[in-house]
Amino acid sequence: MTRALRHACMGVALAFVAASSARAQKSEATLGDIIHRLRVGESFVNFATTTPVVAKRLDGLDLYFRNAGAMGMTLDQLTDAYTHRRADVSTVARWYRHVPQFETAFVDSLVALNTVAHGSLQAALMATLSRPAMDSLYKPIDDFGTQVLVKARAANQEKLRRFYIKYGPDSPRLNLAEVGINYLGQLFIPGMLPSEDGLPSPFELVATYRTTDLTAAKTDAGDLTGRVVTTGQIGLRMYGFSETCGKGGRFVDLIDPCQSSAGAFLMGPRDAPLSRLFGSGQRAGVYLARGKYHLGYVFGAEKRLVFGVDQQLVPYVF
Amino acid sequence: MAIQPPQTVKWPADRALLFVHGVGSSKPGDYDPLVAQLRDILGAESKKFAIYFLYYDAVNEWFAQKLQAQTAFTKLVTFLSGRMDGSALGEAAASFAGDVIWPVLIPDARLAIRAALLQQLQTMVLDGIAAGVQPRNQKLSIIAHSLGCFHTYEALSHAATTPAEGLGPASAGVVLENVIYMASPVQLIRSSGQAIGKALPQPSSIFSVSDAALAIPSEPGDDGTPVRCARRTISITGNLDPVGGFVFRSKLPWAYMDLPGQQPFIDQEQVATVNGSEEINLTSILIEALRTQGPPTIEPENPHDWSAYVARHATDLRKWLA
Repeated sequence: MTRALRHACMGVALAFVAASSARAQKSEATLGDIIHRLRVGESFVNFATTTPVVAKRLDGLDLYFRNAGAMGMTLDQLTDAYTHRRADVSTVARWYRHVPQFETAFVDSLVALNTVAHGSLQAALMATLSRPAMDSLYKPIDDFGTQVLVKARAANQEKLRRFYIKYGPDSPRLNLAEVGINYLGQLFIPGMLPSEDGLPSPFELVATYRTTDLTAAKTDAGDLTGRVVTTGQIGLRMYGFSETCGKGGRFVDLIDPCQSSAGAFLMGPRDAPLSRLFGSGQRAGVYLARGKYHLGYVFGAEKRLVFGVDQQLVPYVF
Repeated sequence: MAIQPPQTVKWPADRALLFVHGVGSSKPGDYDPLVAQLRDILGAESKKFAIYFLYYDAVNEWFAQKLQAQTAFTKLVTFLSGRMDGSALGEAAASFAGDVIWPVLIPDARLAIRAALLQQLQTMVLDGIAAGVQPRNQKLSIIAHSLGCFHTYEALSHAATTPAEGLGPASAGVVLENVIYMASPVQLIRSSGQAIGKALPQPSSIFSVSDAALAIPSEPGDDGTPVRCARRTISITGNLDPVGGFVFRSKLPWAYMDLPGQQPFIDQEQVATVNGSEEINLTSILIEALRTQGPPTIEPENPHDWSAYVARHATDLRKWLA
């Protein structure tokens, strides 16, 4: 008799749940909906009696979220916080008004709430309810999980897009010296490592020796002639990772490149290809690179303005 | 932009299987015969599976091209192995330079593949949801081989400690049915990484090296008890497979992955097949020679062959994936 009565009550409760599901589909579900469903589920399986420790944990989380004024937050807002995405201004304003210690404690509490939802309560409900009834009861909880997965997948896709920009076939190739200094840079220079979230560092060290840069200089006769010269660059490359970088017309590398670099620019004593950079008569200056084009300037008596394109004449060497 | 999107499959039932390959330069479709082999093993049951295959060599190729991995990192690892002791560990670390060690030395390389694997797992779960099967009812399995075991271990460890990925066994209720490691180099990489010591960039992003001990990835549950990422974790290796931690039938404790709670299987491998059989004994060879009136056909065996691992465990796979 008691059991029949209990099943009848569950049937009525599930009908209410189904009705509120329909409402939730029209306007997005909220944190309040999630907690309400967990409370309904709790009553189905006498959770406070069978699993008092976890039930108390749910009580504590319910109180925390109520005090934080977060019950009206939508799944979209909640999953933004959960996946560490940037929230819109209105959401942030709301958080700061109602949830002073938003960042860590709030997200940790959301994780705890999900852990309660997918733990012994879910197991007890699955043993009691049919699959359709379970799916109906857990709809806002499942929708929360689905939105987290969609946003987390997008975040991983973004990581891959950035890795592609930094390492893919259109990225600058490193010579052996650069492989070495970038490896060492990861060990000793802050900012050269990927972020805690797994995003690549935007920085890369540059150490090149180029033999095909172009400059113009006056001959002994006073004529201005073009010359192929040897140059060196020691600098820092920075990747932009914008959505649009590197896409577009022929001169996109100048307008919206995926990477730029700047640093010291070196030339040897003579304006000649395949010559030494160091030693007496060495000239030094600065360079700026946008995409695969760079412009360098060396100071001193034999000052030069040099233009070049990033292309390795001997792959992986220079 | 040549970033391969995650594979998406329409689920025929409530289960899905992901293959993660090992070293090599595979492109989509290269492992179709292996998938066909498994479908044959499962028979009619295979129709219930949404089968996924993660091909990540395109990502490896970015790094190999940019960094000239084959030359630069071989030199680097040779240098590093010279700094290790003169034991077999140093030699092994050097011999696996191009394939196993360089994801250890370049955080970006391993994190890019981890992102690819995570987004594939997320797509699998979402495909299941699209088919009306919520994660609590999904039966997901992974079969990984060789270096794929390392990437699987890393991805599952990250998922278990990062609820934001939406794949946590406790926080998201995503508990896999099976994780089957075949010829896993996870312990070898751990030993090599720890031997490299301070020369290892960002050890915190490589669980197999930085964790106090290797363990089945897990997340604290609602009562604080760890919830494992898989109901069944299986480790299979051959006793001639150095990647799996064996050299000439001798287990190397510093190279053999021994996760507490795993189901271990050590296959008895042969260096060669005689007349197509791994059963090598004088009687069978004589009988076959008399039958065919000719000398025996001797073929060398690849102890690391993925297909051979699958074939040897056909009966087990039918049981585990049922």
